[in-house]
Amino acid sequence: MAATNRKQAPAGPKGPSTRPQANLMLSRVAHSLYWMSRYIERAENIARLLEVNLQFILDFQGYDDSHLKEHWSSILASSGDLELFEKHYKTPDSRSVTEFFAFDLRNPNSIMACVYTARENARMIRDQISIEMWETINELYLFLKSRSATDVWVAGPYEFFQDIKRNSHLYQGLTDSTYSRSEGWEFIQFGKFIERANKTARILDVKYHILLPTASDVGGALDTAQWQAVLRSASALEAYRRFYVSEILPWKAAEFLIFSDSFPRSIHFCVAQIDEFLRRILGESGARPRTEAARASRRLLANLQSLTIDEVVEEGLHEFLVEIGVTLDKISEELVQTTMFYPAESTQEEQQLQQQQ
Amino acid sequence: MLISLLHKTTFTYAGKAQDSFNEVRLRPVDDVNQTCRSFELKVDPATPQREYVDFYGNTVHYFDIAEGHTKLVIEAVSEVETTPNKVRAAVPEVPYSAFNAGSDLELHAEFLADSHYVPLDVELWREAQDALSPSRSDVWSDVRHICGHIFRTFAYKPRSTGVGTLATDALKMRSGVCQDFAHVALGMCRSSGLPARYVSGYFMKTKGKPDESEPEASHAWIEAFVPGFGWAAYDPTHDRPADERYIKVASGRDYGDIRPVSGTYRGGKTRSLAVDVRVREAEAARA
Repeated sequence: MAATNRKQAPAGPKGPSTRPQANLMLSRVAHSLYWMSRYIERAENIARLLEVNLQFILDFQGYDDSHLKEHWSSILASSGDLELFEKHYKTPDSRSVTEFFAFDLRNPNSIMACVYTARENARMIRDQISIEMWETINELYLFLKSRSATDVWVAGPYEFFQDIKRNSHLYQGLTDSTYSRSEGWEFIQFGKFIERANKTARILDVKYHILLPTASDVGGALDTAQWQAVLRSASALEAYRRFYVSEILPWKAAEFLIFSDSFPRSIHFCVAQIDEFLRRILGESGARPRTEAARASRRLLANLQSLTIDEVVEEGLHEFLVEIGVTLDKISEELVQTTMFYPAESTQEEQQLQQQQ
Repeated sequence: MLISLLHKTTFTYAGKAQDSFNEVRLRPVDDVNQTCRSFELKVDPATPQREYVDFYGNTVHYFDIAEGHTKLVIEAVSEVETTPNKVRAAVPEVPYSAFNAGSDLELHAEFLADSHYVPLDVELWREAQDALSPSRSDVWSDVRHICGHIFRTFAYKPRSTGVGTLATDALKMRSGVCQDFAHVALGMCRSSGLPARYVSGYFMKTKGKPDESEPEASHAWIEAFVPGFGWAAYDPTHDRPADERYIKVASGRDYGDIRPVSGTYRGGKTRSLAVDVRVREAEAARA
């Protein structure tokens, strides 16, 4: 069955797909492409977050143990994993958090778990993706399997995180140059940008809400260095500097990461892509969207196009970012339900047998 | 004897069922004892049917229904002419040693081995030893002794067993329906080195007027291999050889091979399964 006409509920797209027969895709394949793409992006973003924070701590030798603990706790809290972490580790320090985020399979969002899941999804659809894409994911998996947290610590975490990022970029480049621009491509891109928008919002939220400096610190050396770290974690430092030649100002950095319409990791840019691929997947051709997901994404995009950073700060940046996260979850959830999900009541049943008497 | 048959199976589902894939073994066979004059399979919701012949020579019709439906009706209507009793060849007396001369045991190895419904447990062997004591005679008499033993020591009790009951369970309870009688007979024959297979079909009641209110069902008996003769049918439920009143539809190692209707689907649980079987002498049906 075509991924685009899976759903029978009124909100879903109706009628047979207008695509030629050859482009019909199984919803199972769409599901795997989507999660493969999402998990690779997630692994990369966790690597970015960890790398930046580890470097950031190096910059502040004055940090004592309680500072460190507070710092890592807030990062764990922001990813929603604090409870899970405390179940398995005693104190959050650089080493235990790195292990938890990089290697611990008990954490379903660790880099290892993400890459493992991405590889499992890729393995299920090996006939659909190029051999180069598969090999890149598989190599990343084998690379992670061959390392332990101790090795990484001894050899230097910087190299380790660089390797993960490099592999993720290699995968993205290969996808770009070897995957046909078909329906599957739309699912890959949708998954990637949903994850990226989510993570950029989260990285911003960590800085703004959790590492909130005291009033006197705003604009101080520490604050500026932190914002610089945030920009670096999104590979946005150079792009920012080209845009705003002057020094790094907190609101400018936030504005850049939220509203830039040209930087490919900004929330605005990601949501514009999400809206475009969602429109194509759901076959939304009219000016007025027919589905809940497309409406939500159009509304979010309109906000990102029209609001200013001053308005957002006035309303509360944290609330704004949380709202974005909620909307993104809603959009992705509905798309999964509409096009990729096989309802739970549809488990296979045996036809009842008749006894011979 | 010309016999008309109706076998109607109705599945009602709690909620919508879809992606339903089904196989039915409902077409009577053609052999020396019977000829299938006509056969028609009707499925509602209507869907194209295709057929193939399985490993045991049974005709299997299969079809699928992708659209959602809450009810599935499978109706098989056929007319079969059975060979009159008086023209049927008698089963000869053949000593068991005849098996050693030829390759019959190897050719029918699957009918001597374990199967899902007939695990060859020692209890079945012991039961066969009791049935065949004090001494074994010829092959066909051994089969008759085994079936007669079951007929005498088992109680025919509908609803005491289910469609999934194994021969070993029925033996423990010493009760069941024709399906269980046949499975136990198979287990006892096989434990005694006699190749035997499960036969699915219908039995026409000739005594008294057919009671429309009494539910009929498909019947089951066994066939044992007699060297130099071939497969000979015996019904342990009635303790007699299958005659012109028996219509054979399919055979296999056990019920699992001949399931009249089987399949899978997606959707809600089955709310009810109704089976309606009518077996009538054709002239009577026309009148």
